[in-house]
Formats: sequence, C-alpha cells, structure tokens
Amino acid sequence: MLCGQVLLVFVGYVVKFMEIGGWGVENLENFSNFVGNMRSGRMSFPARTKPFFTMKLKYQENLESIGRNCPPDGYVAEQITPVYRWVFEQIEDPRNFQAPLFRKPTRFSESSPHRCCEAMALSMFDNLEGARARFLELKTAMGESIYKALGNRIAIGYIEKSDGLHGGRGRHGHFNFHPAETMNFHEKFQISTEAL
Amino acid sequence: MRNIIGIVKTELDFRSRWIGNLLEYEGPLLSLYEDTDHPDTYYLHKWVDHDNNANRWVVVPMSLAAIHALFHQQTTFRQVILQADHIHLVDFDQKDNALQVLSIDIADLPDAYLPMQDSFYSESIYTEFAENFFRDRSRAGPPDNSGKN
Repeated sequence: MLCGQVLLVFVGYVVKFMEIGGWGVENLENFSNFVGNMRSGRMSFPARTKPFFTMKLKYQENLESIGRNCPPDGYVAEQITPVYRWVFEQIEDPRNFQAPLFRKPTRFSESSPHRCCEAMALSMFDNLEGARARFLELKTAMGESIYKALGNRIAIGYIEKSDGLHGGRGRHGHFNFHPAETMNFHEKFQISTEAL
Repeated sequence: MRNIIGIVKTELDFRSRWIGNLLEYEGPLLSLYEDTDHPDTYYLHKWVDHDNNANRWVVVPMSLAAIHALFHQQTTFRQVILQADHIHLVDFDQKDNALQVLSIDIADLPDAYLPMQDSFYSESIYTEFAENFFRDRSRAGPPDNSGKN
C-alpha cells in the first residue's frame, strides 16, 4: 500500500474514532481497544454517542467569545453519580443552576478571560461530606450572610456523559461543570438536605 | 437588603484599587484593595448582602499589623472588622458603580454581616493569592505599632 493510501485509511479511522467518542481522558481506553481491534482486523464500533467536541454548551456563544481554552484543556464529558450542589430552598429557584456570571447582580467585576470562563461554570461536589465541609469553611469566614449568597440546601443529582464538560476534582471533591445546552437540572437534581 | 443606620456619603473618602481576592466561591467573597495614596494601607471588602440591583460590601481598613496578626492566627477576620477605626457599607451595582455609601458605627452592623467567632485565616480555605500576599507581607515580622489595626 502506498504511503498516501495508508495515510488516508488512518485518517479515516481517526475520523471514525472521533465520531464515536472524542478525545476525552475516559476515552483513552476506548482508543486503546480501537487500535487493538484495528490491528486484529476486528473492527466494530460501539453505538454512536454524542461526541463532546460537538456538544453545544449552555452559554456557547459567550464561551466562544472568550477565545481559546474555554472550557479549559482537560475538561471531559463523563458520567458522575451522585453529584451535590448548594442550592436555595426550592429546587425550582432560577438562581440554583444559573452561571455566576449571569446572576443579577453578579459578584464578578473582573474581566480576565480565565475568570469569565470560570464564571460560566457551576460548582459541584462528588461527595456530600465534601460539600458540607466546604460550606462550613465559607460560613465560618463569611457568617450567616453566606446563606443569602449560596443557598441553604444541598441538592443531589447525577450527570450523564452528554450533560456537559467538567474539570478535575479539587479539595473536598469540588469540580467545575459547564452544562450542555440540553441539560435539564430540574429533572436530574432534587433537594437532599440542609447545607448546615 | 437590610436597612442600616449610617451617614450617607457621596463617595468613599479614600482611593483604592483591587489587588486580589482572599476568598472565592462562584465569585469573590472577600477581596483586598490597597490605598492608592497611602502605601501599606489596605482595605478588606467583605460581601454581605444583595438585592436585585446591587451587591453590598463591608469595607474596613486593614493595617500591616492586622495582616501579620491574621497570618499568624493571632486574630480573626471578625476581630479585624470589629476593631476597625471606621466601617463603610457600599452598595455596588452590576457595573461596579457605588449606588450608596454609608459610614456606620460598628454597633449598627448586623451580626449576620460578620464572620464567625473562629474565622481564623487558614491556607487551605483561602485563595492562593491570600497565601502569597499574607506570607509576603508578614515576612518582615510584626510592625512596631500595636497589633490593633
């Protein structure tokens, strides 16, 4: 086979791979399997899933206006169950899942691209203890006023792969989440307990 | 927002500029400003309240002595506010314009606006900026004047 043909076949396989799952960290295993199947001649593609690089995010136009690296490199589409988020008393409260940048009035006044990008993500925790621990830290530092800023309940929910992109875990299992345009938080989250 | 008794002013009687956030969660909660005319004079801005039009911040001066005491856990953020010479409440709109500036007596500051009793500085809770700033400003040791701000 000529080099050009090999290249074309390879490009074809790469395109096929990208169509089925994208380049997220969780897909490295898929990629490995994919290469193995390609070598052995056993090519079978899993059911087509929505590739995250074509996923339309909520605030997509705003995210694009920031330019490159928003959401940052390393953000992936991945199922996480359960997840926790601080919310106000009623799950239907529009503030609960609104990006901080678009709340009125927002506390953001800086304009750096990195900060603006971050302000369009929602804070989540991957464990209840972590969510409570961070809330206690902020309540200690801020006093009772923290309830008015962040709510007084913790909601439990789940995130599916097609629901958005999230960053790595930080202290207490905290992570930032950029929701997909199709994400319906009210279907996937419910009030679990008091924040503190 | 709560109605607070105070002296209405047209603007703050000092000029300052933002230098960083000490505490954040989906936006700044505690920010630090420095006086543009008086070096080594800082202002702590603590978010306390909001309504549909504005965010309210408590603004208190913070000396190097207070910064040193905070970093070494000899005082708390609550004490820094309670011992401040003067306290302002400023309502900032979406574009950072001061809609209302109140000079208030500490006795008129609602307890809900204050940090908790054990609001000591801790590296793990506050931002990386806070850690760098406090460490840098505390390196020279405590100032000669008292630990009171």
